[in-house]
Amino acid sequence: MNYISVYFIAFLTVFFAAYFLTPKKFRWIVLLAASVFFYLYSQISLAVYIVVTIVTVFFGAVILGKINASLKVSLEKKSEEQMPRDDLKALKKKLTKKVQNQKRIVAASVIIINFGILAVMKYSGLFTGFADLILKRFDSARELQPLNIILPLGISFYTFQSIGYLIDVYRGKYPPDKNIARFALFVSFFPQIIQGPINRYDQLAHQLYEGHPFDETRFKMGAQRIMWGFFKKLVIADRAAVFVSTFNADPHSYTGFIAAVSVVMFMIQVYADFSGGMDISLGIAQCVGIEMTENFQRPHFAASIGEYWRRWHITLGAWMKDYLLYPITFSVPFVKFNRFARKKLGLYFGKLLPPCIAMGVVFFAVGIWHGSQWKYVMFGIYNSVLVMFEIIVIPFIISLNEKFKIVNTKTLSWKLFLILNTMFLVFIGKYFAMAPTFSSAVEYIKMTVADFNVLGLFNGSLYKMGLDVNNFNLLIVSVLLLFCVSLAQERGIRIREVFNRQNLVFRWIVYIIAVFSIIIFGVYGRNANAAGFFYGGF
Amino acid sequence: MDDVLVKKEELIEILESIRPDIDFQTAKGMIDDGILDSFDIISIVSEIDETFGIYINVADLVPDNFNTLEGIHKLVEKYKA
Repeated sequence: MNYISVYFIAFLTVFFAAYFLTPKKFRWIVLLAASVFFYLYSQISLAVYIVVTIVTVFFGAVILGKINASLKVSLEKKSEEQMPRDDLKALKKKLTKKVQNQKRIVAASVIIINFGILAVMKYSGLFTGFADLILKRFDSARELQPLNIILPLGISFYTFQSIGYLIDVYRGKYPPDKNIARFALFVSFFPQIIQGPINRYDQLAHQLYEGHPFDETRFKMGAQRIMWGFFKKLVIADRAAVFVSTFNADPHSYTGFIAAVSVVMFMIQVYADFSGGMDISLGIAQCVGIEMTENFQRPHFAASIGEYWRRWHITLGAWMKDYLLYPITFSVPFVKFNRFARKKLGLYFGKLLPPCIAMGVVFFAVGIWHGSQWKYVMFGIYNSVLVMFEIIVIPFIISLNEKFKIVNTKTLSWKLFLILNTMFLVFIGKYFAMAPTFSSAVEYIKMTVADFNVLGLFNGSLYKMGLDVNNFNLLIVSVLLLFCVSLAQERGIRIREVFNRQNLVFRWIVYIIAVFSIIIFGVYGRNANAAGFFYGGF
Repeated sequence: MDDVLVKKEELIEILESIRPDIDFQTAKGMIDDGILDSFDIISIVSEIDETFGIYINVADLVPDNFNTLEGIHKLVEKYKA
């Protein structure tokens, strides 16, 4: 179901009413029913995939939990038996090793099935592409039809979320869920299904299962957040999108300056779209008393690329840290590499190099998470290199600075410089996300450098990109509003709380303006993917 | 004190090989106060894993376990048992 539709508003109304009218004990069932309805409404034919994930992960976790529990019992029993200390230790080690192997087989099977499905869905284009190349050598008339797969709704997100749960159970962090219906809710909860956030079981599950009472303040704050999300999405994101798609439709009829502005517009579009979608999702959850993890923290104020990725798509980065980075860094080969590096390269490089390389791998993964196209591989490599550079070089520069006092790093001007620098680096990377292909991205960069006609700011060319003067100016004003709000938030001001303290008349004026703005100024008709969101296609 | 599985001295030696500038006997709040950064933790855990033949679970990489020497010692003993 498209968030941007009357049907969705109707759905939400029925949903909220049903939730609060149902007895607390059964409210989780309302959540499950709503999520099932939402998923099937959006995409009935591909629902089998999420069911496969739910079933395999649920049973995989139950088995792992049983293995963990019985190992604990066996170890305790052995401890009670009378035997020499060293023998006991050896026996325990053998038991643990045997159990470890069983666990690995179970976990690996579930992970391979689920990531396998994801890989085929997302990256089959790569394989048919290669196979096609080879086929053409033998028979140029034949052409492999690309599978042109429509992705099951939310597959990149719910797969990661479920496997995170599985790995947590494997690690003994908590016992597995005993109720498959409840687990299905954890996986398919509709506010998170389209594009995340990627939640954690120990933080989300109990909130889903507990019935929450109606809280007027909380509901109001949730509703306000939903409205804010719609504003960002409909007034800002979909408007900026028009500029971007106009450029992409015929890039060579515009100047390099316009190319650069298009990339900036793309940055605005994706941020407003993705974070706006998050506002809607988290707002809905808040209305029913559920707190999901934040996915954005004003990434435009990041002072380094590392920090940027801790403020943008936060839950993906956190997932990668816990389930990819740490397993790599603490794997046997890496641990040996760490010791070797510290001995041979000295303490500074030795302690930084292994995690640096691991981070490089992680950011490459983040890049290709977006898709199999070469441009995403480049995007991954680009971010990888920057992050690795920051890890290795920056501490050295900081200590140099402390010794020779070159710059005063505590000033606002320095902080501003770091922020602008980071934004510029992100801007370059975005060429690879905005352009349709790797080669066109390179084209656009060449254009920008060769033909950076700043006069484009004044000669009206900005109003020829699908947005007339009024629409363009409206976009600028809205972005300024968004910026002011985020600046206030960065300084710790809780906007909704401050707003709710104002007088009734003022608040209602704002509501009316907001609703009418969204209705009148919202750009409708963008149907790029199943749920109408940019990240809904991943 | 009987039955100490891991000698504190051995542990201190490891820690000081990674961060010779810290006095681990007295330091408190090493994570909370940012004295140890994440790269230090990676090196420390790697070295501990190698030396004592254990594998510290990622779930145990929490501030409480690394804020003081005692915390780290307790963690290592838990794994050796």
